[in-house]
Amino acid sequence: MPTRPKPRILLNAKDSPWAPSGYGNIVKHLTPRLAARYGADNIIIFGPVYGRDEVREYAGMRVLPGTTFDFGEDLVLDHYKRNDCTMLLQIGDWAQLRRIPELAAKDEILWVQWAPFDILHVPDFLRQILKFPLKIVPFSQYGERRLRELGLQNVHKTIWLGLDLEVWKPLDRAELPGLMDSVGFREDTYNVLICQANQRRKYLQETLQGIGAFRAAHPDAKVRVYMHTWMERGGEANLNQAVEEAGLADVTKATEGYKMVLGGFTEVQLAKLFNCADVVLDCAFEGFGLSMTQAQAVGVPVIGLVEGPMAELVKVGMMLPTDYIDYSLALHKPVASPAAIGQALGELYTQGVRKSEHPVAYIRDNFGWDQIASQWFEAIDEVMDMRERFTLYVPEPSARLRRKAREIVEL
Amino acid sequence: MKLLWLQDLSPYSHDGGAQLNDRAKILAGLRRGHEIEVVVPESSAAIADWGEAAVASNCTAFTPQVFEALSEKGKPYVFFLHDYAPVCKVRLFYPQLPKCKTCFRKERWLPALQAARLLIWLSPLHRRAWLYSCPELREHAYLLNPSTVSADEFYDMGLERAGTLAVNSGLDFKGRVRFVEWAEEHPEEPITLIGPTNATLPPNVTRRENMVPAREMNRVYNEHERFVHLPVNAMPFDRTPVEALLAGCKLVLNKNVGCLSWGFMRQGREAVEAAMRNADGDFWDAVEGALV
Repeated sequence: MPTRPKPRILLNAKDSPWAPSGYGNIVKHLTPRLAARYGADNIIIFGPVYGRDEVREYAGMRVLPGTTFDFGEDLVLDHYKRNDCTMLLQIGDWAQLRRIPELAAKDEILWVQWAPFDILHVPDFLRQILKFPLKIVPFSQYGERRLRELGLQNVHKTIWLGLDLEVWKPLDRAELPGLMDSVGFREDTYNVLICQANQRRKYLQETLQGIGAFRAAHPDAKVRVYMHTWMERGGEANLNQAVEEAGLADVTKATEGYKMVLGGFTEVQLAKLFNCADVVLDCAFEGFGLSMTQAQAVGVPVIGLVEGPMAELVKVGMMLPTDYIDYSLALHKPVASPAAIGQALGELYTQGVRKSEHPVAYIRDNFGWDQIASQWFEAIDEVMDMRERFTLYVPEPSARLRRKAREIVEL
Repeated sequence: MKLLWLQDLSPYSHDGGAQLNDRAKILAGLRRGHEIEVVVPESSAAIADWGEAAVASNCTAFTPQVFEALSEKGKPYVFFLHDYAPVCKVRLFYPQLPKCKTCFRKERWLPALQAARLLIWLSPLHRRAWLYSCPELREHAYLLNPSTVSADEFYDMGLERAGTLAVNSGLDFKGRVRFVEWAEEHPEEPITLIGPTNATLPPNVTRRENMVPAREMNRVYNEHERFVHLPVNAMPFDRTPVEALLAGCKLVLNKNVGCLSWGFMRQGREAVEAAMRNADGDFWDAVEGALV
């Protein structure tokens, strides 16, 4: 086996390492570990969504800007070629990618995709896209199974999204009275947390209806709800209205959305918030479901959908069956019924299932960033081996040929 | 003979060097009374049942199993090799590195090559480059056959000449790096570059943006005193230096130019003309002898 050269990775998760988002956190935690192994010069971060017009630096790595508020596909090839990259590590949604698959098909880039899988029925054109990554690394074992069922030969084993275990750990919420009060939680209330983007595919209206049903069935529960989301985001549902309709207006508080957008909440603050909850709801069909592992890392039970990665991420919680398939969205989504959500809350409440140590050890054993990074080293090294074995690049000619190129003959 | 001619691209509708050479060979074959059916990847599989034998030209879109099937049907074949496919994925960028000797593509294709009745290379350099990674083919029956360039199409028009011409030297596999270096080493020499490039060119190089139709190239050669071609990879043949020589240009080449490894290139125009005249006949004499 020829000597494996060091990779030179263009990493594109849309978000920069400073973005207060799940993907921003991935970049923030994974890239320094990649840099420690392969050299900071060999990790080039592309953060098209939050960067414009300037090259910044993060932990010794360059962070390149974009021009459009999406995956930055217009600039990928330029960033790739001009920085002599040997691999594009694309993180996140892939169904919307168009130019990157074309470039990979023409061998202009070597594409590795760290991929969520939240598509119930995969149309043919998306199946075609998935042929072009040299490796698809699924976010979840659920996704891995689904991808292999499509007959794809380029599916690597799952690498879960990591957590900063220094931050995501159980805290005694008795030591967080100010935060408890600010979110409307008390020790004698049943504290329900929702931490999801305000997007139709998250079915937050149904979730709120479910909480309303639980409250109606269990008036003694003294339900309190905190929503860490932008309640009235342009183009999406008016969640304040949804709260009203679910009969929860008097017991619900929410984050100031604008402050969220400006990055006003750190990961540390978020972890403290999760520690204040009795249960976290994530009732959508998730590609991963970071709020699930975050909740389990601090010991809080989770209610989530059976379809998707919940079974491999959650040790304490309740799974919701699919009530119906929503065909109105482009990529069909399974939806849980509010009644089932209400029942699940009722089960956890009546059985006294609260915060516990049980899921914490599982998270600590499997989701630390050092462990996740090690799995990535293995995947990247395998990619570089394949690159050499199958010559997935145009090699420099031998020294002998270069010498002959200098031997001029004039006729 | 009824012959299948396997090609990735139809020689009748593409003008690459390999297709031009194939076209000349096919026409010569038809004149000798052979029936030749060109088979491209889109052709119906039923065509495999027609014909007694096959000439495999550029056929990267075919698999080794195609040749196994030909052998099983008792149809002999020859390989007419234009570059380093099928053993090298990067073809004209073939780097001749130690890892080429154990390349997975060589493993996949060597049996089909060894089962061929004849291997045809375009120049001594072409064959030597192949044998670097495939020494197993050293004793195999072979023919060295230059690409056909017509002395009727390329000749001295007696025009006034100035400067140096380069064709496609702006492409990486045609020696962009060495071409730019040479241009920088000769800053007083006005150079015309025809063909695409992404390179930043020195000020003495003028680009002609549009490709020149093949029938106009003789005039372009005749407008220049010299022709430069400095590939970094070993080129199988290179038509353009031969065209330029026939058109009366002085040549600036290097030792990676395939046609230069033929003795006739240093023996003057008449020797080149003779070699070109004999190329098609020599090809068919060898192919007929191998496939009978």
